[in-house]
Amino acid sequence: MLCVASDEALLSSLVSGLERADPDIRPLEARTLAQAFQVIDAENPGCVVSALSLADVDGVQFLRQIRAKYDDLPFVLVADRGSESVAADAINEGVDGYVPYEDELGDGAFETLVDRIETVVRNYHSYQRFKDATDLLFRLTEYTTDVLWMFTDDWEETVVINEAYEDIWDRRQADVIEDPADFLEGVYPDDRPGVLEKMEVISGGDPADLEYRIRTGDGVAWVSVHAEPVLSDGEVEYVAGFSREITERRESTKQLEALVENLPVIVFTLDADGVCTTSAGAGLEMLGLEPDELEGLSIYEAYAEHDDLVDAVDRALDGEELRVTLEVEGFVFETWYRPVFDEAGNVVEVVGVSHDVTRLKEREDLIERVNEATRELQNARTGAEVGRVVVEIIESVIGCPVTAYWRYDDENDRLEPTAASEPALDIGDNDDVSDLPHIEAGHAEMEVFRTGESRWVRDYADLMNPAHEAADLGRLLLVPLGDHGMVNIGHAEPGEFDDFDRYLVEILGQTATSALDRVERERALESRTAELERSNESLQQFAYVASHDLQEPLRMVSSYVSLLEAEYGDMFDEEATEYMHYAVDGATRMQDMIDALLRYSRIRTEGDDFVEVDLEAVLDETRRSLKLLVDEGEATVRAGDLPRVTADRSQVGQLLQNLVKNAVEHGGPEPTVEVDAVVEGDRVHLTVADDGPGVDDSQHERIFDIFKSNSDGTGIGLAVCERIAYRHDGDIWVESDPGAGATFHVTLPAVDADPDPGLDPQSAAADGGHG
Amino acid sequence: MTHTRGEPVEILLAEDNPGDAKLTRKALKQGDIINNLHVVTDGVKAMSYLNQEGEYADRPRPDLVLLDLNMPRKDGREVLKEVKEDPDLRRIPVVVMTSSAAEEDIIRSYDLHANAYLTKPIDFDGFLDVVGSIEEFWLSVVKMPPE
Repeated sequence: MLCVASDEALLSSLVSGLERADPDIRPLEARTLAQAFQVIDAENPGCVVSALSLADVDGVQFLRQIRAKYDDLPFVLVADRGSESVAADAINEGVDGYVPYEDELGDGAFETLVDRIETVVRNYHSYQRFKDATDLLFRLTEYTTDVLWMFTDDWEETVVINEAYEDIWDRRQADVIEDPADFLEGVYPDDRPGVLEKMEVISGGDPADLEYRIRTGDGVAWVSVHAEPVLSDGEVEYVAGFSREITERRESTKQLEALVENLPVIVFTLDADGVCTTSAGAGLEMLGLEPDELEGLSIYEAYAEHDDLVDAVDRALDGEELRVTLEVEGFVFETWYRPVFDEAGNVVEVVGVSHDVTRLKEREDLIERVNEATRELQNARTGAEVGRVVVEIIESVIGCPVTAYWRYDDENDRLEPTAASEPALDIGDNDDVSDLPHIEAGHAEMEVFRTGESRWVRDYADLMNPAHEAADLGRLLLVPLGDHGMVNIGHAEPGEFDDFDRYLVEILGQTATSALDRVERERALESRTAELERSNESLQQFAYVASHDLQEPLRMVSSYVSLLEAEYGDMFDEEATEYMHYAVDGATRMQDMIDALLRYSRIRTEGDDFVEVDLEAVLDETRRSLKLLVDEGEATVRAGDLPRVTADRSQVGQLLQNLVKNAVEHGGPEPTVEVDAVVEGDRVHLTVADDGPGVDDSQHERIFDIFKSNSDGTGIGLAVCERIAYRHDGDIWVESDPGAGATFHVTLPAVDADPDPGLDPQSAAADGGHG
Repeated sequence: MTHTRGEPVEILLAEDNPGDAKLTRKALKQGDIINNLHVVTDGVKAMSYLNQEGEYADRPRPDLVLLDLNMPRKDGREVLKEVKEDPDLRRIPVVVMTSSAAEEDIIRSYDLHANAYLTKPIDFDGFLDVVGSIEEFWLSVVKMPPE
């Protein structure tokens, strides 16, 4: 607190009065203007209390000088009554407080003075804070990269504009402060009308947003402006706003637009009525459309004849996101429709992207056609046929006219022409495929064949030692088909035959290779089968002839021995008679064996058709026919529930009879035979167990050999069983622990869960009569 | 064809094995039916006999044929086929003599319509049984009403 007065009494009274009134006040003293300036500079007081008149100047002049130097230092004037006119001058000069007093400064006057000083100081402080904040704010505007500005409503005067103007506009701040029109100078000429239009809008009282270009030293920049009118009493007083540089954003948007415009796609939006609101993309050009030609058109009208397109738009507008492939103007487009919903869930817009999949579709179709065509390979019976089909597919479906197939002849180690298209024959004026040259060892093509990998030959003339030396085949694709042969595709110009075609040919090559493998396997199988059939046939023939031819001499032996006995028996002694019995017995057994052999040989060839057979019924028949044997041996035959099988009924009867008979004969004393069968998947597992001494391990295989077992007296019973099991695609084996009996196992086809309705009931019934 | 009891039955035996032929002859002699047995040793001769050709021109047409299957020149199957396809001969009963039951199955499978099948036995007693069967068969034939 600086107290200034030239009157000593007044000064000391001020100082002591103030100290008395408020102990926090530290009064300083000054008696002249010069002295006051010294103290202010040295002590930086918060307030000046001055008497009206000083030694060198009066109070009002002092105030004026203080204001000139310290424009916001609070100043309180103390004056005696009667100097009101001076006080009025002081107030005009911006004095912060005025305290009058009567003659002398009384205590009341000091209280008023202190009160006034406090108010003044408080105001001073809040003003200081406001001033600091304003300063800070203003400094901040200098830091922002946006241009902040305020002009008068007529755009004639600049109220404020920050330094960012210089960066963005690339023009001087001082110039725009001088004249707001400076910023317009910077606007890109084409965009100026739009800017002027918006300026009027703002002056008229509405906010506005605008993006426009400005010319800068090194080109063009984009700015985005948001502006608002500033109203006072309902009238537009100022216009204010900020301008931000968005060149980069605009550039990337532009790049995106350029991208869309050049991509073979159509990007579009449709409003809720199906009217196109935007459309872009190079795909439009394919349809003969200008970039914005679709805009404003209803899809329902523009594409009314495309039911599938209209349907897709319907569905999208109903809220479905969908992807459809459809043909328009000869092109196939795949279009993705995506509805855009508002907060209430209504479709407000549909956005879509179509891209051209015509080529893709063509390729798909081609693959499909090649696939279709390769089915014929499955029917090919010979390698030559496979070759013909492959050449045909490459010529007509894939579209390479010059095509031929060479088959590998491993005996002569060369490739021989087997199939060729007409254009391929025409190259060397050949009439027939056999006129084409062979590809021998040493020829370039043979080397490719040996690698097993397909190969492009850029120019046939470049090949070392080609097979068609004179032929001008140009570009050539060689595709080996495993070790079976090779397909040669010639005269394909680049572009005519692309990697996709090559890919197709290679796939076809793989399929053809499989077909050739199959043909080879089938041929081998056929020849083995034929060989087997021949050998089987001769075996039949042999068995028949042998049995017949063996029987005749045998019958002679036995007949005449018995005739000898009948006519001359009384001349023989007992021993001679016994000899003759042995002779007859031997001949009889031999005949049985021959008969058995004949039957055995006929199991495979003379069998009946397979029918559904009830094993229970078969077992009943077996019990009946073996009754004598079972009764004599005091045997017991037990059986569980037996399922049905699919078999030759007569043969299954024979099988079961042989096994049961074998079990009775090889069982223990008063033998027990157990017959059981269970279904295991598509097989029935039949077991026949006895309680005899069992079968030695070494005999498990041998007992099924012909004449090795002794189940039917001829040693052929189990061999017959084995042959019957095999004919039924089944198996037979024996399991035995020595001393614990033997169990014979047989598998036979089960009855199909879903019986073939084509099964002839007649044959089943007729067969039923056999057993 | 008529036949009355008492008149001998004319039998043609086509058999290339003299042993079998002898046994058949012997067995027929021991049987009840009076018969004249004529033996030919192959199929060609059998057909000539049946057709009364050449040396057999004056032989009687047989009432019954006993046919062995395995013969030289023309086997039993062919003879049977020709007989059954010939309208003059088809009514003559033919008994096929087979070496085994299995062989009988085979000849049946040709579907040649023999009137009966007999398996040749392996001893003389069996032959007597076979002859008994032939006689039985014969009687059943003559009991049939004349056509």
